[in-house]
Amino acid sequence: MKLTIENLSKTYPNGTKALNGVNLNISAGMFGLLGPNGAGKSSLMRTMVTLQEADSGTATLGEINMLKDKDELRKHIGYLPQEFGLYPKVSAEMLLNHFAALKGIHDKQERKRTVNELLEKVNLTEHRKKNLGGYSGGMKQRFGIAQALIGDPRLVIVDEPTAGLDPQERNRFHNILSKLGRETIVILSTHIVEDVKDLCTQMAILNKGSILTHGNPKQLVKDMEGQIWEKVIDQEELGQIRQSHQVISDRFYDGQTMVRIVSTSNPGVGFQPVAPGLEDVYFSHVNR
Amino acid sequence: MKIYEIVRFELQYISKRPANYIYFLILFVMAFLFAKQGIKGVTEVSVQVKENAPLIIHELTAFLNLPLLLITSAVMGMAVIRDFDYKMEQLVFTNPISKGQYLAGRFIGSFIVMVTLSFAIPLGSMAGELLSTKPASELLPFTPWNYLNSFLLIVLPNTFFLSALYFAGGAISKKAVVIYTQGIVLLIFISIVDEGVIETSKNLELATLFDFYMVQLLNLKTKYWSAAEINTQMVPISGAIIINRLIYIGVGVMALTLTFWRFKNTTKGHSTKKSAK
Repeated sequence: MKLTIENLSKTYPNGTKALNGVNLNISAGMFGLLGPNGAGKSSLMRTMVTLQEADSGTATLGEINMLKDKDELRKHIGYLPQEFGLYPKVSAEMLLNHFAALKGIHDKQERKRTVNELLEKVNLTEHRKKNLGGYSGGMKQRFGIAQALIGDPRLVIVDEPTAGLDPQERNRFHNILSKLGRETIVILSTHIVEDVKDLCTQMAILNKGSILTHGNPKQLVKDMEGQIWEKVIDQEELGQIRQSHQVISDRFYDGQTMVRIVSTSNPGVGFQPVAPGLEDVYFSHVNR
Repeated sequence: MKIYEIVRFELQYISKRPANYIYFLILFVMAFLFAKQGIKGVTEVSVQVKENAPLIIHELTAFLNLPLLLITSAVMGMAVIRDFDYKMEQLVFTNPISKGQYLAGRFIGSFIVMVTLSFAIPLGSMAGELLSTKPASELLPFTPWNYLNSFLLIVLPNTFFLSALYFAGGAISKKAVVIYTQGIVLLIFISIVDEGVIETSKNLELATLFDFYMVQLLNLKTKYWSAAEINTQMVPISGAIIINRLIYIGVGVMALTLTFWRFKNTTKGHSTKKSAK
C-alpha cells in the first residue's frame, strides 16, 4: 500500500495559496508532517480525506484515485481532525456504533464487537455509557482516535492529535498509533518536533504550501552533522550574527545569550560545533 | 442500509431530547382544550351546525396547525445544522455515505418525528371531544375518521411543505439564524396570503388555490350547504382542493431537490484554525 501525491495545488478564493505543487510518496508506517501553523498541513489533510477539493494534481492510495473515487476512499480512511466536537447528549457507545454502521459494518454482532474492542483500546470502556458532553478534553480525543480506527483503515490521518493532552495521555496516544498494523499508513500532522522524532520513520517539512524536505528523521539529522554551531554572546551582537548567519535559535544563558546557527564551514572564533537534533533540521528549513 | 442507519440514529437521537416531548404535549393540550370548549362560537356557521361537524373539525385542525409552524422550524432546521453547530461535520462526512444518503436519511428521520408530533392534533382533539363540556344534543356521534381526514388533508401536507422548506434552509445555509428568519418570513407570507390576498380577492376561486390552511377554501365549497348537509357530509376531495394540496407538496419537493443540488458535503475550505485561536 502506497500513498502518492503529485503536484497537488490549492488556492483559496481569498487568494491564499494553501498548497503549492506538493509531491509526496508515503509507504506503510508512521509519517510525520511537520510545519508551522498556517503551513498548509490542515489543507493537505482535508484534501486527502475528501473534505476539500484540490485545484490541480493527483493523489492515489494504492489503486484508489483519492480525488475522484471519494466513496471508495472513505471506506479505507480514518480521520481525526484537529478541531471537532461531538453530540453532547449521546453516549460514546451509541455514536461509535453509528459510525461503525456508516463505515459499512452491517452485522450487528460484529459491530458490537468492533465498538467494544475500540473502546477497550482507547481505555473508554468504563465511560462508554456516559454522554459525550461530559467528556474531558483527553477523553474526547481518545474517542476521536477510536472513531478513526473503525473498520481497520489503510490510511489513518491525525491532525495535531496531542494538543491539549497531558503527558500521560500523550504517551498512551502515541502507543495506540505505533501499534497500528504494519500495512497501515499513519500520517501525523504536528508542529511538535519531539513527536515526530520519537514516533515516525518518515517525515516531511511543509511550509507555505510546499514540501521543503522529506526523508527518514534520523537520516535528516545525520545529514546536518557538523553544520550546527553554538556561541555565547552579548545580546547586542545578535543582530550582527543574524545578518551573517542563519540563526536557528537564541536563548538566555547565564546572563548572556546562547546563539545556535547553521553553517557548512567553520563560522569563526568562539563557535563550538554541537550535535544536531531534529529541531535544527526543522528550523534550518522553516527559517531559511 | 446506510439510509436506514441514518434514520435509525436520527430517531434515537431525537428521542433523547426532552424538547420534543414538550412540543407534543403543548400541541396535545391545546387541541384538547379547544375541542373540549368547542370553537363553533368563533366561526360563521348556523346554530344548527353541530360542534363536531366535519367542517368545524377542519377549522379546529387548521387553527391548531399554526403552532406547528414554529415547532417544525426547530426540528427540521436542526437536522443538518447540528452537525455544523457541534463541529461534527468532518467526522460525519469522512464516512462512506453519499450526499443523497446523508440528506435522505436526515430528512426522513426528522420528518417521521414531525408527523408523530403533529399527530398530537387529532389525538388531542378527539380526547377533547370525548370530554366535551357541550350537551350531547349539540354533538354528533363520535367519528374518529373526521379527525383523521382533516389531519391527512391539512396537517400532513402542510407539515411536509414546512419540513422541506426548513430542511432546505438549514442544509443549504448551515446557519441557525437563517432558520429563524425563514420562520418569520413564512409566517408573514402565509398570513398575507390568508388575510390579504384571499380575503380581499375578487376572484376567490383562484385565490383559495393558495389557501394554506384551507379554511376559506372549504368555506367556499360549502357556501350553499344547509346546516343538515354540513352536519352529515364531508367536503368531497376534488378540483381546487387537489390543486391546492399539489401546489404545497410540489413546492416542498422542489425545495428538497434544490437542497440535493446545492448541498456540499465538504468543509468550507479556509483554515478552521484561525477562528479557533
